[in-house]
Amino acid sequence: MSSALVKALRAIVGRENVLDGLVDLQTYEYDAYGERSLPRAVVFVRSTAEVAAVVKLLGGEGVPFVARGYGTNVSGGSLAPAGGVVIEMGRMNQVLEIDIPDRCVTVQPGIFTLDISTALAPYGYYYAPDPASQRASSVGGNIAENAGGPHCFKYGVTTNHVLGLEVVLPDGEVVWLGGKNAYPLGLDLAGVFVGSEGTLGIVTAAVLRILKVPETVKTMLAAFATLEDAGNVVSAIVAAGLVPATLEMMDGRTVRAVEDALACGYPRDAGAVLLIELDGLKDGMDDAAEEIAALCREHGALDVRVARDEAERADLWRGRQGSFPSITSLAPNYMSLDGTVPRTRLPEMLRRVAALAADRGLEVFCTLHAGDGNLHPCFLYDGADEEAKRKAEEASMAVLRICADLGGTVSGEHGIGVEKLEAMHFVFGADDLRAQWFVKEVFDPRGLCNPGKLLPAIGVADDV
Amino acid sequence: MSEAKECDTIRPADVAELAESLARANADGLGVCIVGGGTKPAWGNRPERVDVRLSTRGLSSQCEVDADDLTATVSAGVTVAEARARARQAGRVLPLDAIRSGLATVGGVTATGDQGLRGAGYGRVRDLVLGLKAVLADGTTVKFGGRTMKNVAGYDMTKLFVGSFGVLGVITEVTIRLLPRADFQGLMILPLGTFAEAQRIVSAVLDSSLQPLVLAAVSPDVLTELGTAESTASPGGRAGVTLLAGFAGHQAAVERSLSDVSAWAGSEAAAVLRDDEAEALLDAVSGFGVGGAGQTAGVAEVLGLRACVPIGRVWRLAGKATELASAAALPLSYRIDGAWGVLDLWVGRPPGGDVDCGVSSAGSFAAGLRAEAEAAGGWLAVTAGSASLPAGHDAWGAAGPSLRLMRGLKERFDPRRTLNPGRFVGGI
Repeated sequence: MSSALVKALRAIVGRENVLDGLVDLQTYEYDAYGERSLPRAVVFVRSTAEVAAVVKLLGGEGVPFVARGYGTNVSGGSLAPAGGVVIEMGRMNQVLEIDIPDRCVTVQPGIFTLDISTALAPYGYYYAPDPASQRASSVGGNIAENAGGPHCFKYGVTTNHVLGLEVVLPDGEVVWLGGKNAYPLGLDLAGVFVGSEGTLGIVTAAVLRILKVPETVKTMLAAFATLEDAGNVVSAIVAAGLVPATLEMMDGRTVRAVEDALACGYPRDAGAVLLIELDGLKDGMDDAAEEIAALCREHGALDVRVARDEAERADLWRGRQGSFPSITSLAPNYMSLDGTVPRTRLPEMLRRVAALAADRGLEVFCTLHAGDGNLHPCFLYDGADEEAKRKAEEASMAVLRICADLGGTVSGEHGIGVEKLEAMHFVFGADDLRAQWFVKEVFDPRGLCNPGKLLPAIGVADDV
Repeated sequence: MSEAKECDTIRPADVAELAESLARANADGLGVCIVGGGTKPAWGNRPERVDVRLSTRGLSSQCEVDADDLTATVSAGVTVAEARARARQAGRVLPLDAIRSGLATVGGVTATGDQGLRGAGYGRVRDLVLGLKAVLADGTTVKFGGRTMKNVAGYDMTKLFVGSFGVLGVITEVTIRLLPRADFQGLMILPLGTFAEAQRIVSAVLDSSLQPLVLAAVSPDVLTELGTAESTASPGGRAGVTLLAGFAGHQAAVERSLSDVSAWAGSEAAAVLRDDEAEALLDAVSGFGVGGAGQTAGVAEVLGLRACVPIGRVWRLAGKATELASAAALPLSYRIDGAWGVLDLWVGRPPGGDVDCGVSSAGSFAAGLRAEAEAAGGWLAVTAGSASLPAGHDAWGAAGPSLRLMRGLKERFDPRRTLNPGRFVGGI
């Protein structure tokens, strides 16, 4: 279907940078979420000017579009809208400026998140947000999802590190939201843009805060008989006023999956493990580590192990970072959730997840950013079995409902995408959603920019 | 100034009453000026019309500290000092450090995004607010965010409301992240000769693994006025700048940090304050200023300004400010947050000069410094004494192309321009 539209796109970015053949398009019909949606064309862009020109053209034709990084989105946020065009950002992957005096870095959106810290390493600086996908996901995608990561208990999530964004608005205009300042002039538009799941415009450059690499890091692994024990230790650590950089937890089933796949030395017989990392000044760090180890033992830890060198530390982290693929390779399909509850409700939450899975005869694997109260239960099933799929979907919604009931929310870091549109009603009423629609309508009055994601439709819009 | 007609002040006792009054005012086409503790009456433009003053002080029923979850959910009218005291009783820190915290309300501080000198360690208000409730101009009540650290369900509306100066809605309740209380605190007061020296030391801190609670500087008169003169006389009687470097945490880490700063400075600290003494000094500094309720000390009127530039450029801007002020013989006090690049300035009346002379030179001072701030990629806003600026001046300066979006949001949230009309950037 080499339409007039495709010709016009090729006139902007060059013939070789537009895909419209069926087989090519099929490569872009899915992300890390289960569903598929075939785009009308895929456009590879190399500059802000190209993005603006492409967006203007699509606007003129009334064609919806979505910006795509590396397709790691797990809530369907980067799926092509029906009849829409995928704008592929991967070629805009450069570090544009490292500004040490102002402690910031300006990057293009297609850069792998980990590459930012690699570029900063010679200066002794790094970019703090570190989602588990940081080797595979783009910072533009991280900005769209307001990605978290294991270190956000201490350092915050993506939005806490974004100072300014160059954005192509859905009408093709290029504007800066914020800049290198810590405080923008006027409304915090960059603040509302981060986490907007690509529905308000396309980031073409980002100014990010950078931090000095900590002088010392201490990583420890504590094993427990039960998730409940581990959850109680997390609360005890926080109550004692300690602020580790990470407080990661996984259940026994996940530990065994990780060991089977990666053999990184996790205790196979544990009911739960905690991965705890402290960073900062070396002064006082041994005391803090000892205090944490003591708390672990008081709460029935079976074993507490401190990484003695970088190799041991890398092994402990390898297990955590590889946990998701280790689980998901065990069955044809999975449903990975991303709920959040106030930290003290974690033990109750985990009990209820276990009960709910048992009731439905489902296998559940849990990894948690426990310090943040963010849990990722993962249900495995075989998609060929309709009944199993239905059960997993039901269980997922039930988990999110419990999160909301316990005072938490339905997404901590994965986003709403298409997956959790329904669950938005668990936490927001119609008026709350209407106020969010105001934002969408101001940025994207024609509704062409990644439509159908993040915000559920609400009743009869009395303002159209 | 004097022409503003007396208008009604209403003080709803709860959110329902507030929503009802606001809906009525909105239906009647009235302009509503929102007031918390009244500590920032002159920040920004004067609203284009004020028919009703809406006090949020009646919203004070809730101040719930959840020590284990490290959150506090607080009604907007509760003062920052009260909320902080509550958190302290629970062994936690409520990390808001606004000016005049005894009067400033949690809602007002959220609406202005005002953070004080402890911002280096606490973070910005936008980083601390986990969720909030608000009433929109038509009386609709809405809630955004939640009580958890991580939350990406829907748009991050809390960011839009933090620092929005009340032009989108009236904030009625805020959930704030708490921090653990540190075992030890140390605050070093270092008199220095020049901004360049201050910048060098601040850069050294930022370029280290130290985690400062305070990384700031004030003009020497600030501490003198506050009665802590013994600690501020600069060596050899040089006029200069007083650096404040504070650390909190494990005793060994605090001691190490103070000694590193001392070594980088290469000079003796005038004083090192500990724990409660350090807290008291920082609280006192937040009372310094000009205009508004609760001011404890400050220069004789005229003008208050706040600038924000990329953090490496704030020292040069401060230098420019003192040059311009000294050329115009204007007394100048200042406060610099070296961690976030914020510069607060208070301009006094020239000695012996009459009011008009002060007004015209303050006007050109502000214009000159705004040009400098903008050239550095930042902005400069008026926080007090706009009466001393030429008629028709803009308290904020140009916002650039994104103003279109801000106007669009104002129109959507408050189509009748009921809330603080004209007060914020671009007259929204």
